Amino acid sequence: MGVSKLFGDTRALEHIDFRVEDGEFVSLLGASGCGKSTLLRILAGFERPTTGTVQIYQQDVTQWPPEKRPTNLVFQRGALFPHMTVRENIGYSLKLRRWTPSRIDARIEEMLALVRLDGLGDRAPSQLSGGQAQRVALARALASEPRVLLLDEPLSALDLKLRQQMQLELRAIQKRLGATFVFVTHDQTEALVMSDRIAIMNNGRIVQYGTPRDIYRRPNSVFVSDFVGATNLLSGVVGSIDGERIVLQTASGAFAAPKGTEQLRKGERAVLSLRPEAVRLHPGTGRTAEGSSVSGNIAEIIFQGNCVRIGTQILPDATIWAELRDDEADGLTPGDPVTLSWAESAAAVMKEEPQ
Amino acid sequence: MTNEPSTQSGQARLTLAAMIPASVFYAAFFAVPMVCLLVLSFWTTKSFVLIPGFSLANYVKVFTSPLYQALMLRTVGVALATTAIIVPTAFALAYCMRFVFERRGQLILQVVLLSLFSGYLVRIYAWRTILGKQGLLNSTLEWTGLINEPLEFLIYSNFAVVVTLSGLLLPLAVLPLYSAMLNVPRDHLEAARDLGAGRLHILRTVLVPMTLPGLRTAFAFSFLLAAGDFVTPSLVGGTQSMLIGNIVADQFRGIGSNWPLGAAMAFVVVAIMLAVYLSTTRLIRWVTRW
Repeated sequence: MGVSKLFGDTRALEHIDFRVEDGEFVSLLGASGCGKSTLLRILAGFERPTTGTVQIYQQDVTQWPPEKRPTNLVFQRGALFPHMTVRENIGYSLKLRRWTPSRIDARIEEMLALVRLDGLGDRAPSQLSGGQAQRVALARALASEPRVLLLDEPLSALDLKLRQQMQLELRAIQKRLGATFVFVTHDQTEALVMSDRIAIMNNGRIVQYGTPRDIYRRPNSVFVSDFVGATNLLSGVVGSIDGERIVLQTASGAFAAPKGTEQLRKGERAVLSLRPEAVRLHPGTGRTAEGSSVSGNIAEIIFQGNCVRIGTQILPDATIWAELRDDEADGLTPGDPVTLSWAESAAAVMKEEPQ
Repeated sequence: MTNEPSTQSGQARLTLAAMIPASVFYAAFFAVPMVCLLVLSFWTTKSFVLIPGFSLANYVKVFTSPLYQALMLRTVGVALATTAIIVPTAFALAYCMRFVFERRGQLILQVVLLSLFSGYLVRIYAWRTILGKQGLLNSTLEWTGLINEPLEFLIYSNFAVVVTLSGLLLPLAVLPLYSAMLNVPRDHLEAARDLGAGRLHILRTVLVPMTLPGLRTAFAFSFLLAAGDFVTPSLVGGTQSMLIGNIVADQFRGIGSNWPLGAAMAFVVVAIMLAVYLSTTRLIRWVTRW
């Protein structure tokens, strides 16, 4: 399937052009107000694009109203009809399509089993927990087998444990049905866990579109590297570019990194991004064999349970954070001189963004 | 239950205590007079003197008199016609206030409320100046040349009664409907649409069921108040548009008054109106079943 759209409403969305493959789980990830919900509502048909088209399976549906589109939407707060039972909610779209009662009943049972709510069909929505309500909303939206299922932050109202469980479940359901899901979220972990591909949105644009691994490892902009996961940023000037390697001159030394997709010229201002978990920490100030290194003094140690984050001051105005296992941090105290090192391939260089 | 029993019973006591003033008020000013009236309806009169007793004569008279039957029918008809105008109009207005004007809906609400402040009689007279023989409507129509002589049916007719009552009671129906609409999230209407429902289906299967309490109140306000009104028919109605309320009122004042008969009529009217009200709300529920 192909959803491609060009778009020109300057206030909300600008020149969005993206494609979702059949059976893919795509997340639209961005902070609130970035236009991700507007984009989803355009896909659902509740908003019309000012310019551009929406295609579903080669069919132009731009002018189609929501009730005619082969898409269904799962709302943030479920939007279950309070005056209908779970069963009636799930069967709503089927009855509108004039399915026979026996076929509707069979489908409802199938859906209840899919979302693991067997036996709760006769409950009223007010008798359901938050997680159950969202499952019913999912079942209701999937019942009529839409070609594309659109989900508008359906898990954001749930607490962390339940949300994590639902993420895996949602992913499993999508895999089992082989359905196409477009999922809107502001939670980067959620997007990384569930998606085949992620579209990162900022100021009404898609700034990067790729697999979770790609986006995490090779962010194409400071915005993406900062938004997805934690990162260290060091700014400097591009020193030399040779083949697949690029060297950045910073105030704390020259650091090399693989050449990214971005076109950078020598002498241009650029930023080095380094994930905290890629940084190793060695007591003392000796040089290490590994790729790049820099020394400094420990400024802060933050215990986070499964890991310890250590901030090392390498310059009066620059701190690099490293993420270590708890036992690796034993014996370290603030003020200790340390050497930080990382593999060249773990760093990424990207254009500096005007703030 | 994690609540401690002591706090729970404490809360229950507080709730009961809060209900005392209203209960006392209702008992003193509603329940007691109603019981008195009920007792009175079984009494009789002889040369304007009340005779206590237990007689069904008043009820028999109410049910057998052709005049009262005709009035009762006309009252139900006028009240239903009024309601049929008010409830859909108020529903549409409340819908627009909630879903079209959104924030500015509050402003419209203020205007609607303002019209309630202008007083009952003033508003009836206002309708007279619009519908009258030389009223706004007739003179405008004559001026534009659409008609040559005033339309007679505009004033002193059942038509005038229905129109005036609709104008009077419309704000009372808008209030409960608007507050019911505020409880309907836009998501639910969009969800229905997204699942394939057309406008009529959304109205019937989602919007009406979700605003049913407000609809019921709006229906009760317009139907019951229209059926009980006797000022409007006497000011804008004709000789053929007297309602049962006029006759009931006559039994309690002036020459020829008959309190026990009036009381019996009042109870019959209440019973009939309640029956119509209940069957209509049943009907709404049946129409919107899913």
